[in-house]
Amino acid sequence: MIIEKARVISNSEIKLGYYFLRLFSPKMAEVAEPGQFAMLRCSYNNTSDPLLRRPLSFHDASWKKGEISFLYQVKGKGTKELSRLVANGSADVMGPLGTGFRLPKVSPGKRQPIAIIGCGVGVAPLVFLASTAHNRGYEVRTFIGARSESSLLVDPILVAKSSVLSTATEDGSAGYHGNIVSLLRNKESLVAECGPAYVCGPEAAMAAVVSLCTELGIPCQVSLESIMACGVGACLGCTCNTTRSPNYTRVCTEGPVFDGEEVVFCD
Amino acid sequence: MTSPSLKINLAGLELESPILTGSGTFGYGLEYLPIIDADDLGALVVTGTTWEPRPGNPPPRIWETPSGILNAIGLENPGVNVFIQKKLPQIASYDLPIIVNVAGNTLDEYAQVIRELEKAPGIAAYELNISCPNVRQGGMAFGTDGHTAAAVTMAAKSVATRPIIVKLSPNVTDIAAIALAVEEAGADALSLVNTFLGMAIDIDKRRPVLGNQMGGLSGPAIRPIALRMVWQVSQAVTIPVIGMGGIDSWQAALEFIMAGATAIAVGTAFFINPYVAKEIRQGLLSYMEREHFTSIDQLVGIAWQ
Ligand SMILES: Cc1cc2nc3c(=O)[nH]c(=O)nc-3n(C[C@H](O)[C@H](O)[C@H](O)COP(=O)(O)OP(=O)(O)OC[C@H]3O[C@@H](n4cnc5c(N)ncnc54)[C@H](O)[C@@H]3O)c2cc1C
Ligand SMILES: Cc1cc2nc3c(=O)[nH]c(=O)nc-3n(C[C@H](O)[C@H](O)[C@H](O)COP(=O)(O)O)c2cc1C
Ligand code: FES
Repeated sequence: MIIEKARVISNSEIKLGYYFLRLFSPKMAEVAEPGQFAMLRCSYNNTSDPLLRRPLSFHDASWKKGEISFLYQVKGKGTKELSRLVANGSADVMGPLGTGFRLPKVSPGKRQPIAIIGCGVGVAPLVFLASTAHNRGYEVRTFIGARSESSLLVDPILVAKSSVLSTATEDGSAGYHGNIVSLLRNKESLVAECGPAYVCGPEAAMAAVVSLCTELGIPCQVSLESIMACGVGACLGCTCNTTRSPNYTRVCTEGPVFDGEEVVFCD
Repeated sequence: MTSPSLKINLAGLELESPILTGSGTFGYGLEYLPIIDADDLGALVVTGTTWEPRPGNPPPRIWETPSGILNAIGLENPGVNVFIQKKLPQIASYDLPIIVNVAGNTLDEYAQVIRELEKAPGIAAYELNISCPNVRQGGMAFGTDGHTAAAVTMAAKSVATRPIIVKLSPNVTDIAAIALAVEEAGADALSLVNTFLGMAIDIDKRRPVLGNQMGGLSGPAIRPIALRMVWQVSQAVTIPVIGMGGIDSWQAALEFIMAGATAIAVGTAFFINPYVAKEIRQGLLSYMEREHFTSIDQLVGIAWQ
């Protein structure tokens, strides 16, 4: 694990309320894996408000360029502060943390299709996964949902790496008119050939996608969110319910990526 | 000039540094020790340990407040036997004195846990958690009344061969009175403060934010109150005091030492800055060099005069 003040390459608003942050961090870029995250300090000059670091998944990492990136939505105090970072400033970042996505073993010569299913800012960790999978010879089929066009994040890397890319919005303002589950149902034959499906988004959407995957008989992995204090497994603040153990499981360490069927979703 | 000394004697324990870890904020050390310098710490105070395994409270367990956090972990731990068999051997490799934080629902449970720990090698002392605000029975209830606080201390003393540190709850009107009762009951040292009982409400859901409704407040937000309590307690008793509550810098550490703390503990600050113990140690040393102090002892309670 690395803790450092990394130089900001850029931090730009790509869509109203959504930012794309690029940091120069060769050490982290070399070891980060898809689905892992970093904890970013949002208060500068040792002020204590906001106090805790905020977890953000790696959106991409390139050891060649020595660069890591994050895609984030401004939600509250911490992300608002992050959005004020400027090029050549520095960001205090700790990572890589957690257990990321696992790609399936495939027989040589076979181009195994995998499904990337993201809702809203949930696409962030899936971008890194899609490019890694594509580079390792998997076929990437991407399905992106959002409430409306204003929160639909069609990342250029996803566009470049996917053989299939379908979008849907709940209000019909872009792409298929409907939620992510109805989009997946609409494209069922494409989804059913995939294995696994990788899912990230609001909890209710993830729960619905997990049951659809179970129905279609395809394994899936989800990236969970939880409020975190330490991010490294020490505080036991981030726990969730899984079937993996009778006790609570730490999202920051055992996760954030879990098998869909082992997660006990709240509602 | 030789460099100033940070060595302290805490209830008979010779510690290389006055900087300890706050129980529950450093796990069993296994997350942070691989990335920090163990020499910066004087001792490791591990997570609260109970007789049976405890699952802890339902999530969410953490909520940030201005310069602080509310936590309602609820003493999640694998129980004393797993601690001894699985965790203790792993921590032992770091060559730091280990202080085990002990919690229970009943007087008997405290004694039972300590009796079990007595059989294990490599433990330097026990810290009695009579101040956890996050469990329904026991916990804080023991720490808010002088008689019960004294009774737990005596129960622990009667079975322990190692020093007993009693961790006081700040959720009381007269903390010095509790401290005196515990000292009289035989405590070897005191640590304070544990977290302040607090809460937050989600105005959209119109419900308390935390799964457990209430939680314990820690972090810089509590520092002035914690400091005042260390000031009052350390002047009231003769046993050493471990001060904590929002310490995140050498300056804050020095405030507690000047208020009368022999040692200090860092909790919440580790989450934000895992290197904080090193920064505190180096800051204390430079301050002492600059101000011509040769031993940290000379600064303990210096603000009383
Ligand atoms: C492993 C992990 C990876 C994440 N990756 C990304 C990412 O790539 N891009 C992105 O935009 N967001 C991501 N998040 C969510 C992000 O951490 C939160 O949106 C952020 O912490 C909110 O901080 P804030 O100070 O802006 O908002 P706050 O003022 O703290 O809170 C605003 C709202 O966000 C909720 N919230 C607060 N902290 C968290 C949290 N840790 N997780 C979820 N909700 C929270 C609160 O309940 C509240 O409703 C991730 C979270 C986790 C746990
Ligand atoms: C997440 C968390 C868990 C804690 N668990 C324990 C515990 O198990 N036993 C205990 O005596 N104190 C526990 N505490 C209290 C701390 O040890 C410390 O007394 C308190 O947080 C004040 O110090 P700080 O402001 O530096 O964190 C916990 C605190 C936090 C934040
Ligand atoms: S955030 Fe501390 S254990 Fe996961």
